[in-house]
Amino acid sequence: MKNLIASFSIFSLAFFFALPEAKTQQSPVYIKVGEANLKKSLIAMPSFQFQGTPVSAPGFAKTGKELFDTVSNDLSASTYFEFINQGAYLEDPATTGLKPAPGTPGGFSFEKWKPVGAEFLIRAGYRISGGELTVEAYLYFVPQAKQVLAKVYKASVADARTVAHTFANDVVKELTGQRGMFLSKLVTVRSAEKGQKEIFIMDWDGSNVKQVTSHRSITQSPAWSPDGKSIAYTWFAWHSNHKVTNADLFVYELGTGKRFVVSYQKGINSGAAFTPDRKHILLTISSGGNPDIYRITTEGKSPVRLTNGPKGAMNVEPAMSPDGRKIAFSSDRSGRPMIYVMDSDGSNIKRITFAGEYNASPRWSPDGKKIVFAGHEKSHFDIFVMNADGTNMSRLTSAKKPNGKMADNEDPSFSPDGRHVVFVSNRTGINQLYMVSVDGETERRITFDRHEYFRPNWSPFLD
Amino acid sequence: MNQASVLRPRTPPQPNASAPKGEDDFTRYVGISVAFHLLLLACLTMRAVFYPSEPMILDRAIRVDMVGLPDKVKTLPPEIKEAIKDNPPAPKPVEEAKPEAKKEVLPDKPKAVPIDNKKVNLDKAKQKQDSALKRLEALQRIESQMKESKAKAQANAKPQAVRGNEVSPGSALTGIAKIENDSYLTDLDEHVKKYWDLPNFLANSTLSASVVVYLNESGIVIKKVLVKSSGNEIFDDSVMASIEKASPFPAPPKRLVNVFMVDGIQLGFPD
Repeated sequence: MKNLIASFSIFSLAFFFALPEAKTQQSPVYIKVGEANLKKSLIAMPSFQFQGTPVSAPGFAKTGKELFDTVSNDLSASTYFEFINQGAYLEDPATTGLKPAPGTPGGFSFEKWKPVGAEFLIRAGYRISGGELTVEAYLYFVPQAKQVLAKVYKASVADARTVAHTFANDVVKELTGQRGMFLSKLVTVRSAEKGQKEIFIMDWDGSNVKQVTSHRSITQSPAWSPDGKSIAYTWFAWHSNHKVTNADLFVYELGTGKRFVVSYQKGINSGAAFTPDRKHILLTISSGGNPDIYRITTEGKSPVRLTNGPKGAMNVEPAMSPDGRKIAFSSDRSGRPMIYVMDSDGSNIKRITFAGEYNASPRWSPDGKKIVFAGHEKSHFDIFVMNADGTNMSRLTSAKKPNGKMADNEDPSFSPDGRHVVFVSNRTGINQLYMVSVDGETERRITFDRHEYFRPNWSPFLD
Repeated sequence: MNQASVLRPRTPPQPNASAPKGEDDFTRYVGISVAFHLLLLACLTMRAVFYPSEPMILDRAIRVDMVGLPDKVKTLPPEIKEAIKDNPPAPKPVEEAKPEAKKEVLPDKPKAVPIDNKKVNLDKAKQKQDSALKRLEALQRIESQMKESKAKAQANAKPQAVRGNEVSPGSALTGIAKIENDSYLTDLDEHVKKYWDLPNFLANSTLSASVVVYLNESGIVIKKVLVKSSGNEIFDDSVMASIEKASPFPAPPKRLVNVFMVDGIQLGFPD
């Protein structure tokens, strides 16, 4: 018994004195800091260095400026970067190499870029030989004096913008792991002479405009196919046999220039949206009296009616979710046009907007998590974004016209990376194209001309 | 005579020969009406059978609240953001201003901390660590002494009363120390978060990192160790930069100085 008690005492004492030692080995107090403050990164990008002989490339300065302006505009629009004024540079980029010293003789010094606050540095040079453009570009992370990206691009001089967009995409991909949208395009309706409206395609930044249709009529509601190779649109075509004009749906192949009529039922055949597998097109057909949503093959066969009334109600502007399981559309079945979502077979219709006077033009985000739409309230439209179930709605736009009245912002469409929304605004007095970041913080004007634009649609990734 | 004829009681009207004819007409009209209605019913029935109308769809009733669309959330200009950042809206209590007054010798911003000062602080920290080690050595000596007394106890063959739930130095904090500790830590995450700027392009990343920081009695970071890297150098760089900017931290409570100097505090970015 004595031994037992003694053993217990020893154990107890040992345990007691072990406590302070255990304390010295225990983990420190853990604190969760929480979400960070997001900020744009300061980036320095000197003019692109011409590395050839001016005699052999007389237009080199123009090409260099085009390269620089395009990359600068791309990265600025990304909302990731804020450019450092070139006047603040502490070294002359024209006299230093594209790579850092001392590894490269005559190279630039990271120490000259740290004091100006540069977090990233882009150094690029180009050569032109026989109409071929070669661009050598680097991205450096200045705080750690580290090279992040090094690329050499070769293309014809005429494709300088494509080279610049590709480099900007590579920068975004390297830093975020996500694809950049700088090689994507917009398709839109643009006003022409005598009230005519034609289909045009342009780069996302409004450059490189190309006319797709020359119907000398009215076209509307262009939409990209998922592979970016075709466009569906509606044309008010003249039917000579019946001597009537009808809004027919066509598909135009960009590569071949061929055009196919897909739906020409009496009345409206409009508001097309491809299904993700490109096998079908959703559209609005009004031959039954009221406009309803149909699904039809891309060859124009096997039309299936997906909505049916209620009597007197219209169901229009279908937009299929990226996974192909849901269709968002607008309908006035409740009195005023609102946004609804239904299953791809037309069942399980659910209203998801209840706010405002008039909600229209729903479009899905590429990840299928959000829907953007135009909401009408107090005599004008604005762009709104919400979760796909209608929750967490927020306003992205609000602008006034020169006369002080509120401008209309409508016809939204998501960029392929889901970070921007293109839309039409009449804030300058005429309908021009604009884009806004999906958080509503950054707006940019895309077109700067005297044309009127309608129904822009942002392409999928094209690279 | 004429008067008599006037006063003559009125005789009831005599039934005439046309009365039976009116009843026949009434009966005929009723019959025609019934036949017409039966015909109409038959027609409607036939139409319903052979030409059914589209079913009336009665949607589920929904409640509609007439609400306005949300306003655009206006973002503050950068200079106002900076002003708010530099001057947090919640002012510190007057009592907390006193310890700040003691820190007059400390630099306002971490960037301005001279290297010499850091060395001095490191020396102080080392002194503190040495004292802590000496304390541990003393405890170990006590332990050995207790073992000797334990042997004596065995010799005396008397059971030694086991010490109860007595708080010894270095064990779990209780009472005022715990309150001070909790209060201090509550403010600490907000203090660091204020200085953590992450590039926009990492906004949607799922990266996370952990750093253990060691503070001296003034709250100056004497050492920081990246114990868990995010795998992304730019993310890790932003984390380490935030700690540099956040130094000096709020001065730890006096009775907890040793804890934060020896064990440190592990900060999870973001969680």
